[in-house]
Amino acid sequence: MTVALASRLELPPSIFGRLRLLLATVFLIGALGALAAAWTLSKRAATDAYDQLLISSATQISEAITAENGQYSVLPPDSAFETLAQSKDDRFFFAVRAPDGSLLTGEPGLLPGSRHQVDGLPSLDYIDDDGETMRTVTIHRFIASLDTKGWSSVVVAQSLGARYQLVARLMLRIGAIIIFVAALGFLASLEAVKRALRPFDRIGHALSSRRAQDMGPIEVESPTETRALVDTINHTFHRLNERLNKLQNFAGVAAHQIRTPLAALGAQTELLLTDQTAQSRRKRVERIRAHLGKISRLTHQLLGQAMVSYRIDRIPHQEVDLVELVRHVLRDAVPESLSRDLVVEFDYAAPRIPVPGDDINLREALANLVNNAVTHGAVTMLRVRIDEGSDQICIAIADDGPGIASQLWDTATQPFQLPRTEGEGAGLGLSIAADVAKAHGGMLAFAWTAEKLFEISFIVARSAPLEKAA
Amino acid sequence: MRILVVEDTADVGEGVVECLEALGHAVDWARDGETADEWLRDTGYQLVVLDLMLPGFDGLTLLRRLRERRCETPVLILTARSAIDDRIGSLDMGADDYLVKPFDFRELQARVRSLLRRHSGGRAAELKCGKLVFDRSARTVRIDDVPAKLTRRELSLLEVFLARPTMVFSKAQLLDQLFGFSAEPTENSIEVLITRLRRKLAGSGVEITAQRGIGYHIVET
Amino acid sequence: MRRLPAIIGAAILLLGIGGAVAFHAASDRDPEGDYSPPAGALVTYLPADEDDQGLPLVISGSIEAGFMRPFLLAFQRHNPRLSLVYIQSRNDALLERALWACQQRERTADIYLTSSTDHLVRLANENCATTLPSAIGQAAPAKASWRDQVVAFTVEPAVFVFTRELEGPLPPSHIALLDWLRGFPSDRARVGTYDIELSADGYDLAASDSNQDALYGRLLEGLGRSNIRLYCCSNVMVDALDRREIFFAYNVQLSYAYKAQRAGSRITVILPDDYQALQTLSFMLPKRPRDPDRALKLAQFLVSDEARAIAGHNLVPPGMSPKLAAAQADRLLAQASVTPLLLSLQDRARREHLIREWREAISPVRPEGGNSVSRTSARN
Repeated sequence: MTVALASRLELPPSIFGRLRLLLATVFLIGALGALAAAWTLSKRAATDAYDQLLISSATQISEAITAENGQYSVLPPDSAFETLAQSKDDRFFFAVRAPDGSLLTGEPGLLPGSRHQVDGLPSLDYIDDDGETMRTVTIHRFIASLDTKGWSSVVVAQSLGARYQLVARLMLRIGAIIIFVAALGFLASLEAVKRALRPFDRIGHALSSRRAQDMGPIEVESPTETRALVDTINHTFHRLNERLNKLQNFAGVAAHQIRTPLAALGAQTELLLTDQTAQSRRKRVERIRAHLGKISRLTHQLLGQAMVSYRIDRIPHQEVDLVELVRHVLRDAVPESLSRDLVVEFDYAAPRIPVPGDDINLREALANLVNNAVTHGAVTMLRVRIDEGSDQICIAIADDGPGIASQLWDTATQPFQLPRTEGEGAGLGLSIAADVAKAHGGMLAFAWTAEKLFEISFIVARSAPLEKAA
Repeated sequence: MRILVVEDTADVGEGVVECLEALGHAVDWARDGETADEWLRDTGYQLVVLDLMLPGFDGLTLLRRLRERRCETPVLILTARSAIDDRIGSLDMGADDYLVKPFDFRELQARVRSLLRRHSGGRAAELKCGKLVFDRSARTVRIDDVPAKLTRRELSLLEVFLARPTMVFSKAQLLDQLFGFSAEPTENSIEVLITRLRRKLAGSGVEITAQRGIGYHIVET
Repeated sequence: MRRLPAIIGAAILLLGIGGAVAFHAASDRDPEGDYSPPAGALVTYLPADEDDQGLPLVISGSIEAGFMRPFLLAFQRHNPRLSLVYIQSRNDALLERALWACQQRERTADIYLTSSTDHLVRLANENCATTLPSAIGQAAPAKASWRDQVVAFTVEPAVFVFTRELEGPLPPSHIALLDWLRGFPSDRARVGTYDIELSADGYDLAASDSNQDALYGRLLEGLGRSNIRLYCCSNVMVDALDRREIFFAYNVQLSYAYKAQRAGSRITVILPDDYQALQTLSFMLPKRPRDPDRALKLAQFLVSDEARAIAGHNLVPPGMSPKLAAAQADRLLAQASVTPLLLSLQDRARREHLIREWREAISPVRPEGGNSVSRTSARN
């Protein structure tokens, strides 16, 4: 049922449509409210005005009551009739009664609306006459002469036509003004909204009319309110462009990296077929195995890179315990088949060091670093230490291997920038680790320790990093 | 040791089987999940090498069933999917280790050896002897609650002794457990390793003693 | 209500080409109301020229049938299939009957016509009238109508009428009249006027006079000093002039005076030029009319230009040049008025006061023959 209701109350699809609906509602309610108020006030004004006339005529009649020789008499004055006739099309009656209740003149059926006898004080009421509502006013008047005295009464009743007409006349004018003002306000607001939304149309037009290859900033005249939007769009284009350039570059280098060992593999396989001696064949096979290993690692790293960059963009960060994570990495990333024997040390500042992050990316990054250290570096020892800073966590991975020459540190994190002259790696491991560190609000740092150990620091932020500002 | 290899790709399976037989194990090769499940119910294996992508039901299902039967046979997962989710998933499901294809066969041998070694003497997480505590999952040793700087081979050797504290191991057995048949190290390197270990264990209340002519075993002093 | 035995058993005069057409529709008491003419009424039947189309249109009026006849015949020319019955009663009787019918929720007629517009205004004030289309009120002379219920269709001014033998200049205004009357010894000044106590028309005209505050007292005094005789009706007054019973009649209805003049009476008619005491003739449809469409047709006709022309013709002396005649008719018709102020004429206290004042000033001499107040003057 709520679904049906929701679909029936579906909002218009555009902002303009919604604002128009909102404005129409507001102005309609406002106009109706104003009309209701005007109606109430007009009615009160008309009632007051005509009540005064009615009271005035009753007063005039009551002042014409006289008592002489014990006889009460009344001669309703012309002015009373003239006052009543001001409500041009209204019916009226009156009844004048002597203190003993006898009718002096007028309509016998019209009785005083009030028994409250205060001299000259009118009391107002409504009565029903043959289905038509009439306004009545009753005035009591104390009449005294030499031989008699008492309360006489005057009742005047009049139909309400003139009041209705006055209300209708007032409402026609006031209503026209209210509706005019509301309509004007509504149209002005619509125009204002239309103008306010125009820059969005311009931006949309500028975006849709450009060629797909065009990555330059869009040039539209935009007020300060939409400046930020245009800047963001241009910035996004800029980043997209950079990324596409990088991707193109990466694809080129990756192609080279994959095709070269494949070509070597092909060549060595051909030669294997022509090799005559078992020893030369064995040498050939060893070389083939080396190339295969290279391709395997490269594939592994390329896929890892793809996964990492996918996850950097998509996966929300959760709490990750770095101690547990590093423990797993050390177990997984140090090959069992390593011919060298190693001391693997792991120090940490606290039993649990939670940070917001992506579990799998952190694992991939640290596994790359540890694997690099073990396969290319560490001679006798590998040391991993987790240090807690006030707003950063540093995972330092140190080994007693040759390390990376200081002059290569700046470029070591670029993809395919092989930091070692005769390395086996494809040169993606550090790049992946650097990307992950950056996505976690940190960085990758290189250093030589006091014990002459080569140390790579993987730094992440303690709290959630601001949304990738690059 | 009896090892079950579950692998549908013939070329890979053949390599894995040969490689493990070269270590001196008896190897059965199942080419799909259902067969493997059946064999696992009937036969007691010391290790399962399991490919995740299988015809029939996949490796994870097989693994789940295995663990549901409370069978604690160590499982080494082989996976071609680089998504690390697979690895994590399989570890959570109760796999003991994994290798991502393509892999180096020497690494496979090393992992298998390591797994068999670790699973000898039960699956206790910690091995204790005197003031020495061996944390098998973290692969660390603490003496008097102070971390001892043991190399990986020293750790492995210590683990072999600690897992079967009453047993006496010959040099050949130790060599086999640590390096495998095809390894180059000699009995001499075992002696060197034991000497280094003895030095590092000084003051731990644990000593490796030699039974002349028979081999070595661990004693608490 | 006084009922003189002489007039019980009303004279029913059937005027018509067929002559002997049975007038049964109005005499039966049908469930739609009592349409039978009351005692003392004069019934005029105008049958349809062509086939009768159902019931006749029953008109209840206090205006003399002879005055209404040209209007009704002209109306019938446009509606040849419509029979008309005109029931003429005295003004008071008409009011009384109409009020009774309204209170009983009955019907006595399809339309009311009267020279005492205050009666119709009172009926409308009592909620006894049907509201007409506003176009009818707008078409009335001087747009004189109230609530679109009571609508004027012509006027009846009061005039001075003298016998032709009088010498010297005749007074053209009320003030001049007072001076002129003073020239006669009081016993020789044989003057006639309405008995306003008995005649509603007379009362209306006296009330109209009483609006002239400055003059009214002197007028009553002047008339009161003369040898005054009181009459029921204008035509009786004109007859009395013809017989030289009186030599001056005050407040004679203009249409009677001109009619008598046309018929050869030796009288002089003067329309006073300072002001005219004046009656507005009007019509009204009772509430819940039996056949509103046909009554409405008559109402529409009475405010049409054709009816206006007939009304104008009645308002001008015979032999007047058409241009002057039109001007005089227009001037008089422009004085038509239908307002709630007429209700003051219906107020009991004011009525008694007016009559008492009038009665105190005017002590009449009963005219010879003693029949001047008879209410049946069935001659046309």
